[in-house]
Amino acid sequence: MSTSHAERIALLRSVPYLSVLDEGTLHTLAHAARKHQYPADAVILIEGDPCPGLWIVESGRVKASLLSPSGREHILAIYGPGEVVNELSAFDSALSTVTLQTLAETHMLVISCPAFQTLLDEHPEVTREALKHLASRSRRLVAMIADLSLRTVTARLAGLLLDSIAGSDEATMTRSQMAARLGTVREVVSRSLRDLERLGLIRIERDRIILLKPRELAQLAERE
Amino acid sequence: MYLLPIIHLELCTGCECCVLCCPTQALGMRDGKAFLMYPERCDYEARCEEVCPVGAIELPYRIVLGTPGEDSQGEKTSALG
Repeated sequence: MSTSHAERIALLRSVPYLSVLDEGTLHTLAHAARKHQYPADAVILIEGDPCPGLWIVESGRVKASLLSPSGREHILAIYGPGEVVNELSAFDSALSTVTLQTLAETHMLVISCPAFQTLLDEHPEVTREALKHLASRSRRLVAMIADLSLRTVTARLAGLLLDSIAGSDEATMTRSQMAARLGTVREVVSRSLRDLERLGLIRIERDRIILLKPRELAQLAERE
Repeated sequence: MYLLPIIHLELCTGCECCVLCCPTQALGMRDGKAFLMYPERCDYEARCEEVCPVGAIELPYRIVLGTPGEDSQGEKTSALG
């Protein structure tokens, strides 16, 4: 998959804090960015690795997760086209705080850390927008901490099931994937699925989880 | 079309636990790894997934919204053991 210069510029412009750049700077940045291509299921960065730069997903999907010493995974985010990956390390050149793995064949543009930091130095308008973006990201992380520490797995599962089909007719997930998204283990997800089924909010039929009462599921997700 | 269990061959150690516990004998061994020999027999009991000591088998689930009135259908036994 080859990307034209115009497509590179369009991709850079899709990043909110880069969209404030003028055409000439975007042009220069598009020239400096490198194209990376990864097969599906490739681990492209491990927690503690040095920062290769700011990655912008052109196509495919990338999972950011934390791994416990025993191998348990907690998925923090799944990034798709137009989204930025490895942002924090690009800001301060610190070692990566997450492990990144592709979920499909993925093409990305990479802006090296020095090039990105020079951009921040020379374009305060980008820095301002980036700060707003980081503030919103910090809020999401605080919400995630509250979620993990204050709500039951069953409530979080109710929210995850609803979120998974937001904007589409259906989604596909294994119980291990649900567990990784919720920061728990598969056995607990199985128990919570049975709880939701007992409450009459979902029904499990062979390979289908049918959300019978989305409103009540939403209430449960919010309440606990 | 039904979904089927996913076997991650790179993780499978060939211990045969899944083959031995499958209630419908849908699984077999090929080249020292677990293999879904009779997919048509698989009834999604998920015992293979539960018994696998290395997490090499996963059952994907389709998450769908129920149609109106669907919640009033007769009670069914959970597919999750």
